[in-house]
Amino acid sequence: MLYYSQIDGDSLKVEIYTDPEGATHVKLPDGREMQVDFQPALGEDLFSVMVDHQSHQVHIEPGENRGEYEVTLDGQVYLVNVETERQHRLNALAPRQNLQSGEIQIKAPMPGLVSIVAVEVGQAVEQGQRIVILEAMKMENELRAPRAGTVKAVNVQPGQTVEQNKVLAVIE
Amino acid sequence: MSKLTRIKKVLIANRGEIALRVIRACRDLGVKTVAVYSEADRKALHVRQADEAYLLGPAPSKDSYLRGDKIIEIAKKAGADAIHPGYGFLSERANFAQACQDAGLIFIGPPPSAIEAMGDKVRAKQIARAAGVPLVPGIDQEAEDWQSAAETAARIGYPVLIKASAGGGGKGMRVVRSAEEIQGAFEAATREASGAFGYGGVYLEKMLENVKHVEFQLMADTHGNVVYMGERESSLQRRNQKLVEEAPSQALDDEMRQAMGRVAVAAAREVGYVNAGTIEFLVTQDRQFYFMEMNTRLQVEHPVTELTTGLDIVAEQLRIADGQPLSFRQEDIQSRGWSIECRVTAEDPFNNFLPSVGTVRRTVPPTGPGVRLDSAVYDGYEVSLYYDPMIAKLITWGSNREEAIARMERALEEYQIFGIHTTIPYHQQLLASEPFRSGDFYTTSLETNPALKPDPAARTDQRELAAIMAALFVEQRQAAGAGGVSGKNGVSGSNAEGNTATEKNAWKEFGRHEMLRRV
Repeated sequence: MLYYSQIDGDSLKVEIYTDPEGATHVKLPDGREMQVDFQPALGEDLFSVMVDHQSHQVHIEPGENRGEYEVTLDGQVYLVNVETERQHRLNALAPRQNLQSGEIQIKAPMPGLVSIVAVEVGQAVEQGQRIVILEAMKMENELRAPRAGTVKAVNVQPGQTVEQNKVLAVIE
Repeated sequence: MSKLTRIKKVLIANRGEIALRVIRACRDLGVKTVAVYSEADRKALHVRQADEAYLLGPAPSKDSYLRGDKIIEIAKKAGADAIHPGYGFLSERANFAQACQDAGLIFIGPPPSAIEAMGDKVRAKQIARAAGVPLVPGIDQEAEDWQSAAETAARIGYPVLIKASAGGGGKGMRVVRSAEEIQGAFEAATREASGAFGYGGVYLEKMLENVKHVEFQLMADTHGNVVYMGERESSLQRRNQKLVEEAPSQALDDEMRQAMGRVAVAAAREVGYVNAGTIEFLVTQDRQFYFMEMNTRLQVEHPVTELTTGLDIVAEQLRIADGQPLSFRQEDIQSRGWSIECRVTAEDPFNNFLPSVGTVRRTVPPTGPGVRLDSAVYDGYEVSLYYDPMIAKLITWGSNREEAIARMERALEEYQIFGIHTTIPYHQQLLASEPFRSGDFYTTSLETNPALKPDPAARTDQRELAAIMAALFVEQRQAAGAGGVSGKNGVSGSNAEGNTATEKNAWKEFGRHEMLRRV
């Protein structure tokens, strides 16, 4: 089967097939092939994976959105979008949102108290500029602009308590 | 070692790993345990491990773990003889220690008078001075005007720090590097201090640069015995939170160790100290040491001392509270090998240490030679924003520093925590860094030395591997879903739509297991 895995906008075509002896192989677009053995180690989220006999322990769980998976490997979390070949074709027909020029929502990464709102609607912001400070776990957490743009909306005020994933501000 | 006579049941007024640590010491001594918990901690390990448990109140600490009145009431009701406060929360509140005594309960810690005296910066320094502990020069006199500040500065030598007497949080504080700067700095600091605290008094202190934080573990019983159990190196701090500690410290030699231990013991005697306590020193590169403060409680990093001395500090705390003399003398305490502790917190080191709230899906704890894990995390544990983000202390021991580091690196690699971000990858970077290896780090290094900052680029990029694994995961689910049968590998059929199917199949699996077992 063919899959299209995307991480941070980079796409990788992954072909998975079983050889006549029953061993599973992965083939990548650059021609590299590897033998894999993907075994559940505990429950439905912890796997022991062998890639050409290199042993890995990986944790995989479906993410918030459909087709999204959280893959934890050596302490790093990767958010991977996986499309089957069919989904990939369908999605290719749909109009795409360009991340570089579209809207970016600044969301609360955890529940907390908004202590400072550092921008106003209409204000131009640089990449890395402070947008909001959110207090949680006795710490102040600075939320910054992931890229330069203009503040389109500010949805919170200082002193306000917010839930996780609340959209605090929008930059375009 | 003798068991306890007065204490038969202990209430632990804390949560998390330290509550578990105290429960374990109680078990070792045959003492019954009473846990208290907030609504957020109903399923916490300290609740499950204790003999009895009582609800305190809602999740916020002020409604639960800081409710001293309620804790004492529960202790009485449960028939506890003593209360162990752990660290944080009520551990350094003299009025709580007093209230315990007044209620006829043993407070497992120092007398209220000692907590109070050492909690007051000025009094603590007076006590230290009286005990012959060196203080940072120029410390306890307010400067009347800039001219007298200049005189003091000339006497103690530049650079100096001007600090607000009423101060805190860096307000009213100025670094002065030369005589030309002092007038401006003095005036600015005074202005800032009156603005911030309503009182403009400032004092001068010699600014010590590139100092190490070295602390001494003390134990004192009610029979007048006071000993020191060696030092801990705790310089690696971020926003005043320690990240890595070790024992012994590379900054000391035996002569210095004895001198510091002796004055630490003298300070404890001076204040009439009983039970476990720690005196913190600043150590300069030219091997001068100065009193910083005393912590009148059990410290987070006590395990490194336990591993190097082979002694159980918490069990000893219980024996002392029971009225027994110390079970060891100064000459019995031998430090062996090296120990390191990493404090693992639920924060994302590569995203400005953003707290990582959420559910710990799975943990794979490290084991093997020389490894100790003090943690209260379990699969399904909720990291809440109400409490400290520290979720585990990983401690290793080796016959020397090199071996302790190697074992820590091995343990950090083995330790897998899924579902939240943790500081484990940062600890791996710190341990591998040149400054850590060579000992070239100081109290400010985590903020100032680029080699010790979290570097996302230094991590191995395994995006391709992750992409492949996610595809394999989907392939497996598709295969299982399409076939509608669980594979022989224990693969449960499910699809990407949701997990109702998963749950059903889990029951099916369970049923099959049951059948098998009956056979």
